Amino acid sequence: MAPAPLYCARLKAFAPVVAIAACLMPAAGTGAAYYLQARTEAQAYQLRAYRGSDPSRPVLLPRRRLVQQLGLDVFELVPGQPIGFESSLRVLADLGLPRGDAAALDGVRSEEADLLYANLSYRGPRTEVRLGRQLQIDFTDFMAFDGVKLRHLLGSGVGAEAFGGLWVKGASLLGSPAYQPDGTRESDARRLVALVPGASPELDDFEPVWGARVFLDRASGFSGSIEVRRAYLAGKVNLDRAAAQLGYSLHRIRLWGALEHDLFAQRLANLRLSARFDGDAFSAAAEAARIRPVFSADSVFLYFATAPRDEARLRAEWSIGEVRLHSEVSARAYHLELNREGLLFASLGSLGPEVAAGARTGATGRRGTLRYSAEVSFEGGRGRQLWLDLTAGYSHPGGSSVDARLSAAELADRLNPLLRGRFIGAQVWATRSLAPPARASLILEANANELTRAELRAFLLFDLEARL
Amino acid sequence: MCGWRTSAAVLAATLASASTAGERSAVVYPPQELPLAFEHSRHAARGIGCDACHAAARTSRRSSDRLLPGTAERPHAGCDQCHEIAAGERGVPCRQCHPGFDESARRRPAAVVMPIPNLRFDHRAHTDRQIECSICHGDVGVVGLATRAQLPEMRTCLACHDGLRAPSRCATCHLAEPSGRLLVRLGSGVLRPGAGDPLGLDHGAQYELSHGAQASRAPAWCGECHAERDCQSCHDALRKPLRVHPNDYLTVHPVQARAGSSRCESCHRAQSFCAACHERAGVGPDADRSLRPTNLKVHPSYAEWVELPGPRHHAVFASREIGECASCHREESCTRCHSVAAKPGGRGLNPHPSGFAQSCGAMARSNDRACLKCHQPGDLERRGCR
Repeated sequence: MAPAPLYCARLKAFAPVVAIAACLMPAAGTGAAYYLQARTEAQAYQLRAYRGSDPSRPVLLPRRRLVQQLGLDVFELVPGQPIGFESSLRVLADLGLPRGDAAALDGVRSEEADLLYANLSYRGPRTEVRLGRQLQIDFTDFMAFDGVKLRHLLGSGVGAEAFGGLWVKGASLLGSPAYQPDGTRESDARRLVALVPGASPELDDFEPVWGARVFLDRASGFSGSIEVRRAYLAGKVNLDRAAAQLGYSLHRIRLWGALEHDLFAQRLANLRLSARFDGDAFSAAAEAARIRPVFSADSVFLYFATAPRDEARLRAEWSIGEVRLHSEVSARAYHLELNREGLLFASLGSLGPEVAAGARTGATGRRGTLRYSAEVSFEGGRGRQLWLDLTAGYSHPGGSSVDARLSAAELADRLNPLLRGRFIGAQVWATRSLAPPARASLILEANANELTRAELRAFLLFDLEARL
Repeated sequence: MCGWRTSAAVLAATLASASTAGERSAVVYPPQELPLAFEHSRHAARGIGCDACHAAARTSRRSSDRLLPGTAERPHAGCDQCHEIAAGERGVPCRQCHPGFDESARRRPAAVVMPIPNLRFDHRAHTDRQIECSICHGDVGVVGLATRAQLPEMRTCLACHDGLRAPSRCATCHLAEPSGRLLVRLGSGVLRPGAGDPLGLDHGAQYELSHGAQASRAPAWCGECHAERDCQSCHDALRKPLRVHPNDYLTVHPVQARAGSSRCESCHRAQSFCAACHERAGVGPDADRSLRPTNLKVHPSYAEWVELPGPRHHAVFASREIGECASCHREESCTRCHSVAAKPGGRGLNPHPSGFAQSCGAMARSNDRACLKCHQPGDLERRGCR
């Protein structure tokens, strides 16, 4: 996490955003609708450190986080027009992380302020425009960018969408690293100062990104899209993808297929197929996917002999009265690509894919003010896991509620011998409504396992929600 | 208005039977109390059309309009055109329509409770297009008392509201907030797609873990109800959603991550989230050395992991799931040995897949920065990559 001067600079940098937002606020009495949402979250627990640690002599790192999230939305900025402003800001302080430690760890900040999004939008019947920091969610990725997005419905279910701007990264102004391209760190500033070989000065450069999409939405049962996305870093291509998807629905059956091609590496990145049936009391879905990790073109991980992974899943859900039952089986095959010229291939050329499989079944239900669920799951093939999960909750009509969760697991990690044995955890979440717009919650988590005889974690939440 | 004998009757009956197949949403249509005895079938059999009792439906523009016979002040107006109701003077006894009503008790009959549906509905827009009542309400001529089961299901609406013949946006019928998104918290409950949702958006069991496929398929549909903050309340990689991460998750997460890292990837980037925390905890090898005098080793012996060809060689693990490597290691862990010999520490061990040399030129011409982490500029020129 950033040293204090940078943190202060980040907060100061937020001032123009607040000023812009304030200018966008219409005068009182124009009919605009305001939505204010705030959450204060305090976390107090410990992290197990593996540095010089063993089960009999644990080293624990304190986590004392205070997270403040603030959302402010204004709609109908112009009377009668669908023009609005939406924003979400997060400020965090980890009081358990010394600044000296944070400064020695790339990507870790003991204090930070992130503008998760802040954008001005127009949502007309056919045209939507969004300007500012925003999320982009689609088949190819989940990302954030600073820029503009246009969406226009041409008619007959056909539409087009285009966006362009700067990819939000950890090094961006008030940026979070949660959505940046993977494979590289957010900045090498510390290592450049320390003259570490291999440190890259381009990591925190601006990254222009643009994308375009033509789509068909539920026209005669068909939906689909063709899309492209390209990003540049320091003048060179960092990501270049194209994707297409097609879905068809007939009565209660839906078929869908999609593929994503990595235009930079010239190979298939993702292939997904699914079929789904939705009955009144029974639904079933079958999904299959071939997934290959796509990293930033600046990352050496992209160029290694990495093989795709195949996944398949069958899931069924059915209702009996107020109880919803579900069962699922899944399997994954991890393929292997080796350099045929190397000694390794000579010894392992016939090694096949590694297969892992799992299954889960459970029930959820609700009766009046009570809710409950139970699930048993098993995963095997890459380590072994058997989980039992029980939850129950009660909501008082006055707004207060209590939820409890008990989970027990029998685990065996395939690489870390410390991660074997029984792990039991219990959580209790109590919420009390203080006034119509305010709620306070206390969450307690107790854990017991082979590594930790007993441990208690506490989370305190305060939620404020107001519509004006 | 009903037009029982129109040529559309067959189609209407078909749609009506579909529309009554499932239970109506108690959130959209709050439960009613109808302490009445009434036979639509007897009225229909006498050729009494819908207009005769529900005349206001033809011109109604809002779902809150009263469309029952009579008015709030004179509830029997309309009925009394055929029935002799005048205060029980003669003719029809009250209990014929109000079962159990005791006229001698001098109390009012039990009240009819028919909450306003949580929908926008313009009857006139439909009647102007010659849409028969039975298209939406089914064949009322075969039922006694009309209940919530005779109110249209969403599946029935979508038969016409397909985006071509009529608008398909959710707010066409559902109540919306000033943001344009649907109003989901209603007095009757939370509006949430359930089993049999005609758009396939059923938010079934453990939806917080299984919604990804639907969300990536049609994110615009999610946006009809959800704001960006709804996504970020979990996908911001900072909070600890307890419903997603149970038990001592910080301790046990490696086991789950190895069993299906695609779930982790939906919220966490390996290099910008996982690696940093691992370095702090003493798992990652590339942190400042002052923080890691004795890190935990989670790999097999160095000989097995690095030197000896075999199924426990690190190349096998890296090929199968390089995301696992990236969650602890920086690129330098790889480039130290895989660099060409001319680079410091380089051993020239080729990590590229077979055939890579035939395709790498195009990549290098678009971006050669990663190439130069292991290769010398002269290598690229000799290979014609520049």
